[in-house]
Amino acid sequence: MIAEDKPMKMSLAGILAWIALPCATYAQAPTPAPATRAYVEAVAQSAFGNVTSQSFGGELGITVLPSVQVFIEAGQVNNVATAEIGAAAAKIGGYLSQAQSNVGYAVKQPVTFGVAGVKLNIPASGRVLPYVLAGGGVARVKQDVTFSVGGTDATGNLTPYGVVLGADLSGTFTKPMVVVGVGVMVPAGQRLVFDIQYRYGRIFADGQGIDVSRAGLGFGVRF
Amino acid sequence: MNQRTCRLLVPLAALVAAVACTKSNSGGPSASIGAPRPVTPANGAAIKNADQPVTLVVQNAAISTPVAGTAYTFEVASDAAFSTKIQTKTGVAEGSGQTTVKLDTLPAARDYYWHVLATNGSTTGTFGTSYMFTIGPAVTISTPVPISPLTGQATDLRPALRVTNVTRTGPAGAITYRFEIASNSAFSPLVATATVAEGINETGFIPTTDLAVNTTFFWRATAIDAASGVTSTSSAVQSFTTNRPSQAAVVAAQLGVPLWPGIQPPGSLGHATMGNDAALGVGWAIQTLHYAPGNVNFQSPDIEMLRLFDLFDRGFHPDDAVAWMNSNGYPTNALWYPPPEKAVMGLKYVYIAARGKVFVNGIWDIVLRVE
Repeated sequence: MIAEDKPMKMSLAGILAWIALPCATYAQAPTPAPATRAYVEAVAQSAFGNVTSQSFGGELGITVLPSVQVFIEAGQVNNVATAEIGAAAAKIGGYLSQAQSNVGYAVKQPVTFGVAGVKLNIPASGRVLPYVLAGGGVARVKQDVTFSVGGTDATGNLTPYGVVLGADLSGTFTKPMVVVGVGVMVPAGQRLVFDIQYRYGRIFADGQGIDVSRAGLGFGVRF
Repeated sequence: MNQRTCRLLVPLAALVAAVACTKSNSGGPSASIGAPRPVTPANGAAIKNADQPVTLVVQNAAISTPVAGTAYTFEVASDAAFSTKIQTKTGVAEGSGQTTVKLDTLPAARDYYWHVLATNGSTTGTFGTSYMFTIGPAVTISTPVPISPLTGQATDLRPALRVTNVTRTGPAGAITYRFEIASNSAFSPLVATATVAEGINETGFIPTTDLAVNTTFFWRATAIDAASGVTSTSSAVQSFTTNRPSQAAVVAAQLGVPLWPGIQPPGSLGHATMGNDAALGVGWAIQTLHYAPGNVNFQSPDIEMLRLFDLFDRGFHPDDAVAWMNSNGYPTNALWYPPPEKAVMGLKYVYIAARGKVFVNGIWDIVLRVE
């Protein structure tokens, strides 16, 4: 599981470098500069689906055509636990409680993700700038399930109780993710901008997908 | 490629690269497993060697997210640490609620430990709680051999079924014998059955109710060691045909004594008649008589008198009757006083006298001795 972190981080770093270098070269070409060449923002969201949690991240966008930007986004959702993982944990918890006393369990599925895509700005009167976007990337999902027996965390020592955790209740996995979203960019002064946004994402986990809806506010700088 | 195209393609290329780097190790196809729990035999169970093969039963494993059929591995060892495995059954398909496996025959008189693990998809569970059971000692018993009645014999309505006692090896307990009587050789349905304790050298059973007259019956016996649960093979099936009870058998039944509890005499009935003329004797009705010379009260007839009459009834010569009884387990001191002087069988208190001195197909009277 840990070994997979490096390829993902390396791919994200590569994306950023690839964007920066050649495009910087083209930026010197004598084409007319768009009103907003790029933006970067930090985002805080409420994430909801089977459970409600929080999400944090950042987004970088570059204008490539009038009204068209490409963007990359990276972030973390604290918990996207599905009903299925909850039911699976409950089944094992029920098994433990048949022979042990004071059995408890907790389920959490934090997600770290990175996506890239295209953002289409919709012309509108006034200062606000509505947009829609779509993109894809990868999500790394951690199956953070814990079991306690007699009030003590036994997650790492379940064998004496006859339990072996499979990948459905332990470890991490990385899967493709797609994102679509809508939002409104609201300028605040010359460079600052607020981004009122909604994102729907789906992680293509084996067996069943994980839906992640996020609604929140971004605050950034445009160039 | 212009700048705008480049900027459009860069993130798309990044997306492709990122997805390509994605490695599938999702928890989807890999379930968590709670080990199956033993059900039977119960921990510490004592199992008779004769009850093998043993069937092990477990409560099905708890599978969090089943991805395929669950298979079970049963291990049986001679030690609690499972360092010496006796049998391993792998790939046992899951049953409904419980999963069972039938073991091969295990050596007798030993303790065994067993535990089970489950496998589902790519997850192999851990062995659950281990249970212990004990296989009892090995006991063998031979097959009872019929003594009588053998096939073709005629009997009364309550024949004594007799078999030789079985031989046994191992620490056998008390042996009992199950006798079965049926009107067909398939022994279904049974007409009479009983389980009796082993006798000395041989074991017998007499039906407690009359069998149907003039009917052929089949019988067999099986020896049982209840302690070890070992049952012999059934004896060779014998058949017999019931005849109407002899005159002597009827009176013997009134006495509550089997006429011929052991060896059955040969011959066919119809060669003698009980004389009940009061003028010629005291009759064959059960009564208490007085032997005046000895001032003794005694019951008449007794079983010895009835047996002698029954042999006359079967056509025995009186001397042959005495000889047959003495040589077949029915000792008697009777003495035949032949004609032409008397034609009586002398007993302790009475004579059994052939009326008119005709002892072949004759009428026999009981006459009190006076000397």
